[in-house]
Amino acid sequence: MNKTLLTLILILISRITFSQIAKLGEFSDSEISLTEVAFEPDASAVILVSYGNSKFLPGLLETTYFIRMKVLSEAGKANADIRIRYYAGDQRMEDISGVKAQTTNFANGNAETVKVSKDGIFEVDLDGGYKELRISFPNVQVGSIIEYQYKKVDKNLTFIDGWTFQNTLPTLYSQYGIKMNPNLEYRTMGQGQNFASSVEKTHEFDNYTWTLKDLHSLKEEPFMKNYRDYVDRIEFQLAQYRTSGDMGIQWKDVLNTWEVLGDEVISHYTQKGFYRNNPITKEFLDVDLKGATQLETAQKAYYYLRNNFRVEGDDWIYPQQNLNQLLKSKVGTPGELMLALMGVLKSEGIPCEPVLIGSKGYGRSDLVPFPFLNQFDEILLLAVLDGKPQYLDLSQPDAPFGYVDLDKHVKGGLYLQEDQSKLIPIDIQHNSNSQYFGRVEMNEEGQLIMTNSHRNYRYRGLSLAQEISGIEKRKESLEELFDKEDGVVFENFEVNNLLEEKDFLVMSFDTKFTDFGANEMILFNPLKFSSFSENPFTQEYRMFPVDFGYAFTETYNTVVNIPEGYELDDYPLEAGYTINGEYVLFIYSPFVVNNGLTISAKFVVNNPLIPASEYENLKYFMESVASKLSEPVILKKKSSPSPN
Amino acid sequence: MGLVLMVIKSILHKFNYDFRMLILVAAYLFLGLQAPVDTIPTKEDPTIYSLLTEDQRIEISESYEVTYKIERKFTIFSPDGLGHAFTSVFYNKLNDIENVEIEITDPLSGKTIEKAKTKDMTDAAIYSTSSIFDDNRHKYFEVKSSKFPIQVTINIETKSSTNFHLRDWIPVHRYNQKVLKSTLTVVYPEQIGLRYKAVNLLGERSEKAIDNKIEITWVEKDLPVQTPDLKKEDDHKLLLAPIGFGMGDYVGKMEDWSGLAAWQFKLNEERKALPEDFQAKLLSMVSTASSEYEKIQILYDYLQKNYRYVSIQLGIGGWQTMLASDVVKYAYGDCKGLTNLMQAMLKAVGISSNYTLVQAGKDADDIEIDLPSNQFNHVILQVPMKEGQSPVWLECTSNSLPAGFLGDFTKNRHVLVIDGEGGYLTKTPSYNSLDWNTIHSKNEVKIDNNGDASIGTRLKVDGNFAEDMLMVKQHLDTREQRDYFNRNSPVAGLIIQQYELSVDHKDSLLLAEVSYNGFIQKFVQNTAKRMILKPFLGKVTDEMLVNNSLSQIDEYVIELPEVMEAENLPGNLSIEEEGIAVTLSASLDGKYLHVKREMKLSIGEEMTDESKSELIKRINTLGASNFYFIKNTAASRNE
Repeated sequence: MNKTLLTLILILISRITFSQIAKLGEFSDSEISLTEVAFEPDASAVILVSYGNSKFLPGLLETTYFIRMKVLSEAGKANADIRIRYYAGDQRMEDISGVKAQTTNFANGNAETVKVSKDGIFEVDLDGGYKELRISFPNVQVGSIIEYQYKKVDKNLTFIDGWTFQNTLPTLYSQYGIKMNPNLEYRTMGQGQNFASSVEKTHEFDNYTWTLKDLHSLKEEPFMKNYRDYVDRIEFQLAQYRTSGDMGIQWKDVLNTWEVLGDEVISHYTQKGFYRNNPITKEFLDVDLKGATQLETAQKAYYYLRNNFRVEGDDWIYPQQNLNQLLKSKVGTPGELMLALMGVLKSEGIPCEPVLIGSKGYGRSDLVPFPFLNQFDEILLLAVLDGKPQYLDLSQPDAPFGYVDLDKHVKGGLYLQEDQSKLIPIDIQHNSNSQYFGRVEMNEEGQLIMTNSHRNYRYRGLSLAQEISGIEKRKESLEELFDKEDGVVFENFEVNNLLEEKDFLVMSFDTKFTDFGANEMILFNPLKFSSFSENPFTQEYRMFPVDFGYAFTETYNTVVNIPEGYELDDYPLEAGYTINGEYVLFIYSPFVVNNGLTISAKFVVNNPLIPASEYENLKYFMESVASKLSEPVILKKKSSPSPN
Repeated sequence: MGLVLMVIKSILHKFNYDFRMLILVAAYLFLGLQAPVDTIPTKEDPTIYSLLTEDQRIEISESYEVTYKIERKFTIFSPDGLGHAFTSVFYNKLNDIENVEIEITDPLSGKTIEKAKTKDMTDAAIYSTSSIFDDNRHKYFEVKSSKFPIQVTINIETKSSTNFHLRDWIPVHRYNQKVLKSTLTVVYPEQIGLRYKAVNLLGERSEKAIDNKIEITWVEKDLPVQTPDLKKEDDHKLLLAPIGFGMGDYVGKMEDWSGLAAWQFKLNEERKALPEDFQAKLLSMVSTASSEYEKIQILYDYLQKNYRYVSIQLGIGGWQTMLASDVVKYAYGDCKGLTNLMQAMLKAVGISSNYTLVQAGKDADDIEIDLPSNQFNHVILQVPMKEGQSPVWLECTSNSLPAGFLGDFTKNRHVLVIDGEGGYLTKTPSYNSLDWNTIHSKNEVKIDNNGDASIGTRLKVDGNFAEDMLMVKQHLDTREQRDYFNRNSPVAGLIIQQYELSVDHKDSLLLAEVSYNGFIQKFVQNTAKRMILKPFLGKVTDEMLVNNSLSQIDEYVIELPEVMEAENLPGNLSIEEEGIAVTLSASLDGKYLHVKREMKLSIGEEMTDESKSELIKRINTLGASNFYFIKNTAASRNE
């Protein structure tokens, strides 16, 4: 056999292998007999096969999608209505064709297949250039296998969507393949724990495949909003392309270094006018931004923009308006406003550059260490004020200077500076703790009063300020902050928002326990206020880590002045809890002093990201905390009047 | 003051507002008032985000087409008011957008900031997660501004090819909006006719006849500003209904409910034919059934297992059913298609039934029974039984409810039964007897020395309460089901280890049984002297009394870690009133605490919500007490 023939055979074999993962209507015995998923026995339906296969056509990438799903219970029939969303835009950036879909039922071992007719396929123009293809499968019963395939072409060859291996249903087999174009070189970016540990990768000539098997379904869990950061997926970015001309064949780089990538983005911002000085100078001619220090100047500039412009629209790295339009409309996206702030600071001689980040939930828990633009979705500013670095963000209209949206507290970002763009680590330090102080006394009317002062720092303060502002806007009472309880009245609210000056907000109020009257025994909960008086974790097990967002401490101190005629009868015992790794810690200490009782407690999150493997311990810990926080103090009337 | 007057003049010229509005605008612009000048500003007055003057004209043609012309003039004072001028104009196969014009101006300078027409609006589908095939779309425009106040004038003209449904007129559109004046004029040919019902309207109505047309105008002025605590029944509105109407080739008269029913009957009359082999299959399925109810059960069960609900709402198809044969072919259909098929299936075995229109929704308001009009959004089936027997109701979109049980989506409300060529209003069952509202739990709890406990529970629920269990069983996976029971357990910290949930039915009555073994984290709180049990008797909620009746028994046997003295055993407590019997008994036998609560509540329809809440509070107070036990070996104090 000569070499050419051998090569041809190998190519054929590889293509045959490549394209024969599954075909419509050809089922394995195991697929036909499957009635439950071993690793999720109660799944209502299962994706048996899900694969995508991409190849390059002139100026296009064509991907063939194939999905085979089995309905395992009545509830699983809800999966027989499919919606496929894609972006067409004005120029048909993406288009779907060749839709085939069918339902197969098995009666007495015989397969009966019904194809989805035209009546069962519907296309809808959604908002913003998106379209949705909808398929409704006929004759769906428990045990039905439904299949659909279609081709999607995509004109964007710089960034290839790639493949998401996991789904909301358990998935037995998920594969993505791509036949690379010899004239185009791509960088590959994979993500997810399964992808990192168990992906099966093949590579024959220009054909590449990645396969994952037996993937759990994706479901929401409390204290985890950035699911996308943990989903198994793969995507691609063009690195080089080949051209031929007078100089022969040449490879041209595309965004292949951080510097080039950065310059590309800077060039986009420049085109939009955000690096121009004149409009800024003109706009701010009559505004006195000069401060005694650069910090003061930056603060003035920040507050001027925050108070005179309105934030509206998605936080995104690409501005929609140019600088002049923004200055005229005074309404802009967070990104546009931040780039304008950069211009203002630069015009005041303050060094300031944008930093691109992949915000929490955008899908990049860790940045890929090569120039991959798709991993960024939002902007921060990094200014140097009086020699000190300072991150700035304008995405929250009520946030004081220096506050950065918590979704932007990520590990690193791309610092944009002409010819010098680079990845930098980001570490935004902040103290966002809460201190709850209470004093319990009896008033002259014989009512038990708890005087409370809650001090919330930085992001906890901001969050409370936002909640209070919403309540005040609705002209409701701040009682709304608390659950209603019979016999408990909240009154005398005072809010002192010192976030801008001192980084904290103080809320004072009284809690009156009205139901005691002349009771022989008074019972009350000395630590009424905590974010953790109820265990938020009720689910049996956890797939994703628990993410508290940031490390913080809640401190509680309550002083009980024992009223005249009463004595301290009983109170909660000292306790301390933690879990392996000391991610969280709780300490509870009662102290009896002369005529009173002081109860101090502390809830500490040392490390905000707690692995799913610690979930069971965390759950027990939280239940113990919740239970401890609700334990009562008991005062008893003295048997005879106390000597006076 | 000169500047103020000059600007006021320009506003007057530009907008031709009435004097009242002029004063208001001036007050807002220059005096910084937070409320209209004719009221004393107090802290309780709601903030006004926008002022509105609206003029709407509805013209009905002799061929049943309807033209809507709306002119809105807003003054917007803050970013919160921008949403008030958000313009969304609906269209589909039956409704067209003729023209939209929007102009935003600066009231201070009188200059136009922005103008927009229909072509400048964003076009999008109205996204429905429930309807997979529909043609509902809208064109929308968002007003953006960082400067305030601004004035926005919006003119909208739309045309509907049918007068089957005339939109309600609700003059106040938004919370925190001051409606200065709102006018509605309806013009219709005398022979088509119009019925209406005014609810809480405060203004004037005038009527005149021009040639063979009638023109009625309603004017509302200076309406109170609404806030989110507004009760639905307090809103101002005008309900409209045509007498003569047409949709496509189908013309009808809504002068009474029977007229509307007759039209609906005609619309679906020719759409019930079934393939012959299918009819034969149905006959063979019921060949051994001994009663009509059994036949209904067999066919309903077959429908539920083999046909699934898919929402399809296209043009007249929003009101007309798919062909029964198409539903058979695809094995799916919407509420109309599945109900029509079930009706055809019953007919094939000799049972007649009635297609029935209903306003569905767990919290839906009842329809206005004195205004025959289209107030429906769903279809169910009524199967009349022999004289003296209640009809059997079928919810054909459900694949799990037993025949005869409608569930909270359609129970206890007025419906329009399409009976042959006419029809009548009737009410669906309320399922409010004790049999339909029964809960019985038996619990064994054993407390360990750490304060944790093991629990074994058997819970039986019948009727309405079993519907929740059915939903849990159908829609949640095992982890979610466990989580549901954990979250809904009266005791915090429950972790279910083993459990079984079964849902069955005895004729129409749903029966559910849950049994589980679990672990309660920190069931016990320990103070220095005492051991305190967490409250474990579930609270009665408003939701549980929605059917005005409840028969509930909860029994607990709790094994303490050692023999202890009980500090506050309540003994026997009870509430005995007309229709209400609640008893709570607790006794300690060695280290076993026995607690039993029995409730039988049959509340009269006339009981007010306040009295009901007060009753619930009393019952819950009875069951809410903690159980305190004095420890034998007092733990050392931290003194």
